[in-house]
Amino acid sequence: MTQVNRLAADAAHGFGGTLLRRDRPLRFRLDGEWVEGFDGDTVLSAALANGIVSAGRHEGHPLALTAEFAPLVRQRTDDDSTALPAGRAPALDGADLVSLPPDRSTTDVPGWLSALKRRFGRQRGPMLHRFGDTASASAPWLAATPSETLTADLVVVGAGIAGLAAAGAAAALGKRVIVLERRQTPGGLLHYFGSIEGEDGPDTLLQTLIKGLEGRGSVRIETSTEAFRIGGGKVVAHRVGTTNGRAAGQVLEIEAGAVVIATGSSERLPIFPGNRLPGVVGAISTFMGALDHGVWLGRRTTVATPNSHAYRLAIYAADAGQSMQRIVDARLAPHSRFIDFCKASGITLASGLMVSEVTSTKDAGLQVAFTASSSAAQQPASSIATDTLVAAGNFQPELGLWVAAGGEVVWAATDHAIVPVGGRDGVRVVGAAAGWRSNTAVIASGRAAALELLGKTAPSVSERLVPIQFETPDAPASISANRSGGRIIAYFDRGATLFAGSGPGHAGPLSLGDIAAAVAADLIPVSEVNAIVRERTAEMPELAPSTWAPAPVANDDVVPPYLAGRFGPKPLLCKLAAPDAKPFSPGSLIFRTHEVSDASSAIGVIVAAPPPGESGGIALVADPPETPEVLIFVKETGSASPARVVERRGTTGN
Amino acid sequence: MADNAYDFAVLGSSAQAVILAAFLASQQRRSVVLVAEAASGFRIRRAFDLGMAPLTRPETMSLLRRSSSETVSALDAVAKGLVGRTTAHFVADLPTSRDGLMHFRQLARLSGIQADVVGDRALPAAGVLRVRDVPVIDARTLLPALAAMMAGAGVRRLDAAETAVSLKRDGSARLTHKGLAAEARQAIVVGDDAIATYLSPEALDRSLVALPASGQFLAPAKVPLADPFVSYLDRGATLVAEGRAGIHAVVTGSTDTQDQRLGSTLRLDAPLRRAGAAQFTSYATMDGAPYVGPVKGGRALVIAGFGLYGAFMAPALARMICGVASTDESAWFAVRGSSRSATRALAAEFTRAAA
Repeated sequence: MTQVNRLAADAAHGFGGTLLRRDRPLRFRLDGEWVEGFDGDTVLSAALANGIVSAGRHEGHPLALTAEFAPLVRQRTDDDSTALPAGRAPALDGADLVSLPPDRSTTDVPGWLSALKRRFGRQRGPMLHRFGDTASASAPWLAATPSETLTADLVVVGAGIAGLAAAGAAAALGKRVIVLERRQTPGGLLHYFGSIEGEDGPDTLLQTLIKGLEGRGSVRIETSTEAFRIGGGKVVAHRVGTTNGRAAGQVLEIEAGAVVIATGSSERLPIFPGNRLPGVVGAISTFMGALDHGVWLGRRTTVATPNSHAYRLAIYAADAGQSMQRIVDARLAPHSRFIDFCKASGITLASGLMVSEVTSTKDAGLQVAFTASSSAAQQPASSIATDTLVAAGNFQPELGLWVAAGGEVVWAATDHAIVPVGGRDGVRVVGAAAGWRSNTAVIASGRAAALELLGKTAPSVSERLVPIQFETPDAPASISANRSGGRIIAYFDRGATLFAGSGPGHAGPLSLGDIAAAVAADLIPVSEVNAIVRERTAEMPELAPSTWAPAPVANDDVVPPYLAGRFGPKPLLCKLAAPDAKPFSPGSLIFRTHEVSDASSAIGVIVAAPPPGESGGIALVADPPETPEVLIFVKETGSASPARVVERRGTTGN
Repeated sequence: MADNAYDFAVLGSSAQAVILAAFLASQQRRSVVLVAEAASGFRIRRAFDLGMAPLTRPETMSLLRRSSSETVSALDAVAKGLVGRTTAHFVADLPTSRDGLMHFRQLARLSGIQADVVGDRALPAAGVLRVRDVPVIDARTLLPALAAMMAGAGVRRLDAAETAVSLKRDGSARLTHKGLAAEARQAIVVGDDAIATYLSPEALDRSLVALPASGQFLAPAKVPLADPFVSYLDRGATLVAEGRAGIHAVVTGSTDTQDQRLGSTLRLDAPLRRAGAAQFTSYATMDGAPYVGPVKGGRALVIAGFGLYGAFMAPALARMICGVASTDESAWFAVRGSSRSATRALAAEFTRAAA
């Protein structure tokens, strides 16, 4: 394969990939195909750069391979327990990797058939997975035993500017801090969001914060490390590294005096049919993909956005040599300094439009249809053929760990997002994850949280935003009127849940993005958000097979409580004989005559079967006949069998 | 009557609470306010509503049959398909439970219900009873489906998340919703969620016990559920298949063994992914019979412990509450009240072994 989606090394604004070592090219195999890349690539970034843009198919349509949705990978010769996430697994020269299919559903094709299809089928290339309605393969590290145990006064999850600020504040107090960052480098999404007037630029800001870690305490930053569990004073994380030239994962368990959750926010998916076709990408993942690894899909790009941040992306991309066909804004007549820059650069702009549907074209491109965003009727307005649609969305705080820590959430209508509320002992949410937006507030919130957790007085945090007359607020997430009932699926989020608003019977967990989208689509009432988030998004241990069996309960009572009072105040236990040598089953009702079959007229019931080989049974009877010559009738399965009382064993006292 | 004064405040989000509110308003022509959670259907299921259960009292079987028929007719009139039909399997591992199941079987057959002992190769020693053609309600679809009918009958619906409820000793209730107050002459606390929300442990009759419970939504197993509805009496687990989407399960009893007990009911050769879970408290009675009676030290009415069939008893409950119950209904409810009444022992039903 060649690197068809790799930008030039000297692309403007660092879009050539700041993490790449272009002087160290490499090759590895992925599902049998050669993939070229560079030192600094991840398996995912190299795959995307080589034109591998599909993770497989779902409901008959291709599903985009993205930072939010990528199969696990492992060495071909290893077992699934060694699988790593493609977005954190380093690309290593000579590796022979396979991608893991999703967990099998009953509708999946058998593995041998998949292998045959791969070998002889028309569709070539890696990742031909077929996704059912369940999520992708289970991450093996979720059930793994930690191999390393650490201790820290403060654990910070996320090395964006909020997390770095928290770590710096703790270090200044002489504390031991461990920062867990799932990306390859600190900084989070700082470069995507940029700075506003009066703030330092991103590079300066980052350098200042990192320098601020050099305090009296010790700060250890673990990159390519994702925290996935919190509770009981511990944080558990999965770290991907390289050992003896091979990528390997390790589970860390950190005993934490306190935890700062600085997990930032993720970009929600606008809802329209085709929103996860290959070529439809998010703005944040596109920006960071270019900045980190010099990856940009296709040559022609159209941007659809409800906010101003995507304009900055478009300007940078145009400067980097990409053809920016159009920027379509859902807001009517928006204003922003980035919009002014775009106008000056000559990029075609349109406002008041949203994407109504995307379809694939025969030349592996996309046909994007737009409609007026203000019209309930959503009649088609225009369309464009493009290679890549950057579908920007609203921002949803990443609160998985907060919820796992027992934190609660609410729907914030002004932010169109689910946000944290309330507190938890020893845990704080900061930065964008807490709803802060400006760098100033994000940093201040990180510092304040660390100080508060460590028993110090924390300064108050205040937001600092560009006035709305200069910066139009974000529009709510767009929801196409075509989202349901169409041929192509309109997903509610970008990740592994594959939820398409099909209703509560969706198999698999829901993501925060799914739930936020469902609220926006009026599928979930605001009052249920917290409960649904806590019930359906938390990571849960799998249910293991079990041989549990109930232990016999000692019971000397022949007559169970549910027979109390059934047959008068003092029924008698009797032994019954069956003239036709038939054994009676427990529960069979006894009547005076064979014609009666109304249960309320029964005079007794069989309470115990006879020993094996014998007939009759033990019965509880009200006022049994005095002599065995008088027959009574045991009714079971529709037939009435005669019986005689041959022994009275006394009252039950019921 | 003033807009903010009602005969009854029905508190609870279960199918039993919703249908009871509907019957009180539509059949008994009373003014009703229902305080329930908003029903999107995305919450994890905590109960199943079946028109049958392993009953061992003929009077309960008789009452349920009649009340269930009324319920089905009324709901069918609102929306076809609101009441479905399923085949229910009840599994008893222990000898005492197998006997109880056989008692139920005989009672059921005499009532014209098709209940057969079937074999299960996976559970050769267990007693398995299959009951065909059992009415079943999906509570997730109930409230939206009944919304128009209930509104037409004058039932006012308040979101429990936005409503403060104050129960008085005389059984009345004061409701405050978005700053506006309403009064109801009689509060009726229905089911687990309402009991947990509105009553302190001290307010519960001693016949009621609080059991830890969990509702779970499991990903589809490689070996799907053999039957659409299976209740494992001695394992405290009930499982309902949701087509290809997954398996809903409710497990009651000790949290130490919940996962093991649930895992033992599925033919798993590998761990099964969980798509959602909710922990809650289930209120049951030690004697297996439901509780319909006052709170301790007050007159608010508590309805609890019906298990599977509570929703289908709503018509009879409505008549009892309004004082127009038939003779046999009155007699039935009379022995299912407070534990201080010695007659409660005469209401005991089959109940599973503690786990």
